[in-house]
Amino acid sequence: MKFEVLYIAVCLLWCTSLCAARDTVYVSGGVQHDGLFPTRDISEYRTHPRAPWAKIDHLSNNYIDLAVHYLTSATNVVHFRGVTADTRVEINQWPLPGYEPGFAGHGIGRLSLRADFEWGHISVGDIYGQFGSGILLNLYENRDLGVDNSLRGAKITAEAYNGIHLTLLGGKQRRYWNCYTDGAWGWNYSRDAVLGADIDLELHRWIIPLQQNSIDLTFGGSYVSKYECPDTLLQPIDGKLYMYNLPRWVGAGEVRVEMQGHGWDVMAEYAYVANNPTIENMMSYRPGQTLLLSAGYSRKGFSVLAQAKYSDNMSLRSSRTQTGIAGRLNLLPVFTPQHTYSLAAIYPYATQYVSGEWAFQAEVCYTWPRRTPMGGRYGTTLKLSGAHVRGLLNEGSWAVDWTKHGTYYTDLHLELNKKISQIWYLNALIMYQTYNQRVIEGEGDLVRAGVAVLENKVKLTDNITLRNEVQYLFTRQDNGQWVAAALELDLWRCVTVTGEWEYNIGGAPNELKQHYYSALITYTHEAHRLSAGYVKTSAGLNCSGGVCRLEPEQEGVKLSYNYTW
Amino acid sequence: MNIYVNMKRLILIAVCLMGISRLWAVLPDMELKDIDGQTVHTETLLANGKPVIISFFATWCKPCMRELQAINEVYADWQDETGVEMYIVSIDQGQDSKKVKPLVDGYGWDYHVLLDPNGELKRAMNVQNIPHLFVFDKSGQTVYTHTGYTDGCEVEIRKSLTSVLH
Amino acid sequence: MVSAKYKISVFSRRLSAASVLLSVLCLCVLNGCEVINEGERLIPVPQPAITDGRNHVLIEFTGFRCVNCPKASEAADELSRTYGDRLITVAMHPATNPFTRGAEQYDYTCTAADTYYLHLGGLATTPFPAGNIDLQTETDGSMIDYPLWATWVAEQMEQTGMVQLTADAALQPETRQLTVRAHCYAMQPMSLQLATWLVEDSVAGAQALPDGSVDTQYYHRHMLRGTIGDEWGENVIAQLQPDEYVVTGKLPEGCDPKHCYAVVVAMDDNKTIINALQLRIE
Repeated sequence: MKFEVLYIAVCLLWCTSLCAARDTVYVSGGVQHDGLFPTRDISEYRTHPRAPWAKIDHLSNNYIDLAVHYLTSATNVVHFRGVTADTRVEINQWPLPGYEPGFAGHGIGRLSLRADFEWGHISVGDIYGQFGSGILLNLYENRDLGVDNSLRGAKITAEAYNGIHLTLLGGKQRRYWNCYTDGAWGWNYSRDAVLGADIDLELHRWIIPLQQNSIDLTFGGSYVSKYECPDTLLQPIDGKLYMYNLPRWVGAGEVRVEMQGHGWDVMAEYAYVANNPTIENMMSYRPGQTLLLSAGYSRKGFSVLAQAKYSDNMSLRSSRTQTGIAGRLNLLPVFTPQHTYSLAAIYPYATQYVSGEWAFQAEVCYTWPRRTPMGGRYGTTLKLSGAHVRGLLNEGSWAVDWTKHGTYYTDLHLELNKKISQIWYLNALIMYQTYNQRVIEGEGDLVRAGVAVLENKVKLTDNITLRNEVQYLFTRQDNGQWVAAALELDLWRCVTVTGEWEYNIGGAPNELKQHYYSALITYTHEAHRLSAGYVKTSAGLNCSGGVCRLEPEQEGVKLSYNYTW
Repeated sequence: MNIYVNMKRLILIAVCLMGISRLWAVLPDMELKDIDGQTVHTETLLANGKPVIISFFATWCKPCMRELQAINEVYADWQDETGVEMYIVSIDQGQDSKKVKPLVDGYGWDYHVLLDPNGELKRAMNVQNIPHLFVFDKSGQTVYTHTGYTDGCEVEIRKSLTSVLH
Repeated sequence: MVSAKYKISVFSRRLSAASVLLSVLCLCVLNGCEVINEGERLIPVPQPAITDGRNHVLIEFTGFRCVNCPKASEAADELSRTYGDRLITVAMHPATNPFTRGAEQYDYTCTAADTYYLHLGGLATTPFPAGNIDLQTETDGSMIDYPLWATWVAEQMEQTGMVQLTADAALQPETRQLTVRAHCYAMQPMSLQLATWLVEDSVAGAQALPDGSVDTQYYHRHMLRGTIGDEWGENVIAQLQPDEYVVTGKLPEGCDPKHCYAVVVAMDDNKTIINALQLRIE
């Protein structure tokens, strides 16, 4: 069935490319396909128990986005500027390995209409949005993780007066599909509704002394309330049965203040959630709190940043019995750096699994200009970053747990970027990490690891560039030492040939002492990108923004295609 | 074998799609904040009558860093030749958006930086993989777009900018 | 040059829009929060009537490395105290999940645990503790988090039984041969599968605990050690005058007969348990 849909999509694209009218109406969209032809038994990657798995040899995630835009420059009473209709079709019946069971399905994942006005816009349908840093409400889409927590409802954003921004939204949250339930339409929504309101005040627009001193001061506040009918949730205590008295309305509020100017950027944000008993927090009625503090100074060539975060019991979901990736209303910011070098990313921190923590991070970056003793001929950049996360002494307390069990994560790394000559770039990274497997993954030790990475990029000719990477991870815990290498050849500005290899030197059981490798060829032509190759990857956490998805070991032919217009 | 039939179908579809090379990306009007805290309406970016480059990146994306470093070396020359203005849009979420200004200043880049923490502009322009770069001419039409970073694509970008002049 | 009149009309329009939005915001703030005081959080409910009827099986998926599993085990014990013999708890340690790995000298896994785990859609990435009642497969996944077990069990307890079971089990100590005899009674003839599980209590071993330590003196409760006969059982006809179902098998190595007991389960065509019986071994 999915090939028929793809053929229809291609025909549609041909038709729209022939359409002439672009001044007032235009169509935009995108197509994405990520597929795997596994060489192992495909039933190992089965996601949904009810999806028909017989005769399937190919796993893939497919997305087709289409948007029709109408713009007008005519003046009118309501200052109407245009309307956009968006839709997204998803075909994920047999998705790539590692997604949750509910992710498997197909249908229209997004349908929305947005009217733009001079003073703001009104959206109806599947809406996305964020309040402040997203610690109360963050509705977004991330295909890598399989996250799409839009609300099906309405949203109004308005700039009421110069510097006052108001947002009001409400709706039911999307939760994957229900195609395998009899009589279902295809998309699955939470039973009950979520309401949110947000206000942002740019005080510097009215306070003249601030303007005169080039200081920006913003105050903001948000309120999110979710309504949910009380479920019958029982708890046996000493042989007797009790029922939880559940709140219908769970309210959460936040205030934030930010001051910027003369290179400084200081911010503070506090959020509070009234009783929110859910399965995730073991039906706890204690309030949830988060405090975010950030201060940074930067000017061209130098920057310094320090941040701290306290959070306890802040997981907000649209349904109190939901666990997993779907159904989250907020996104607690991860306070640890996200690494792209594969061995540096073997132990990523996932803030979603922890109920309370204190996190600190700081970074200093300095660039020595060109033609200086330290900078060399082309300049040198050095960056020192550190992050440290500790648990709380007790649930609900503000005290840090300074014992050994309270160490959740540490990351201290030094990164060097240097252009050595016209044709040679050097990047080096050295890192120390501690990672509490028991807290983050549910089982394991406190892993202490050291990582070293060396990367070189050499321009062989005008059209050929070679990039190589060598990585080494040393640890005495978990699976021991790892070594990795990568080679990338960029040819004629449009073809990239990549080869990667990883080997677990210290892997104790025989099954882990394997070579993991991938060989890919990528061709890009304007907005098209086609990639094909063979991969064998180890199991690991795929993380983005503190939300992680566990990917199992995979082996097979990988094919990816992406086009945007 | 079924695997090869499916693969052939997919490659056929991809080749058909590659034949469609008309560029349609239009910059939608959104309200974003820049790294100095000022609110910016994206439609004003194209109102200066100069070519504009928009590039999506994130602080954790290594190919994005490579692309921006490579363009940084020739950006001053491009500005002299064509008057181009480059806006880099960060899709870092939550508190990570506070790391953008230190990163840009730390590397000493001269680009204008916009923050898109919720991915609103990214979704509206159907950007999925980063880095993703768009070049708009003086009238706001797309003349070049590129996804991913292949070393040397600055040459292609420069070609599209100079073609816009004529 | 924009006239003052135009500016004022824009300002007043925007201000009225702002005040509408602000008043809606205030409405949300005043109504959208319900706080339940301590002391009002638990409401006693009528105690379930413990009568003869259909027995249910609570399957607890657990593992040596699962630090929250002892809490789940306590939750299962609370349910046993509430429902007595009507709820039979069985803990399974499937080898396909990494939470069971690492206890080399204490191997709690068995092939039957893997069979049932995979039947329920269990994957290597399913987090433990997880539970299931009566091997029911659900649309969104069959694994239930332990805070929800009490609610699910209460829902299942309201169902009436269509099949009655009687059985006894006898063990030959020298040969370790266990013989189970059972009869299934039903008003109308029904075809079902009858399987026998061998469960051991108080298995001494190790367990990882929430504070990071490993308790080497931990006693694992109601652990599935294997099945006597086929894992999906034998086909029998439940009727008013049923035939006798007999199965014989050897106790696995390492099982202490003093702590073992048998659980006879009756499954329908969907492999869902419709009744079960816990037997002491004579």
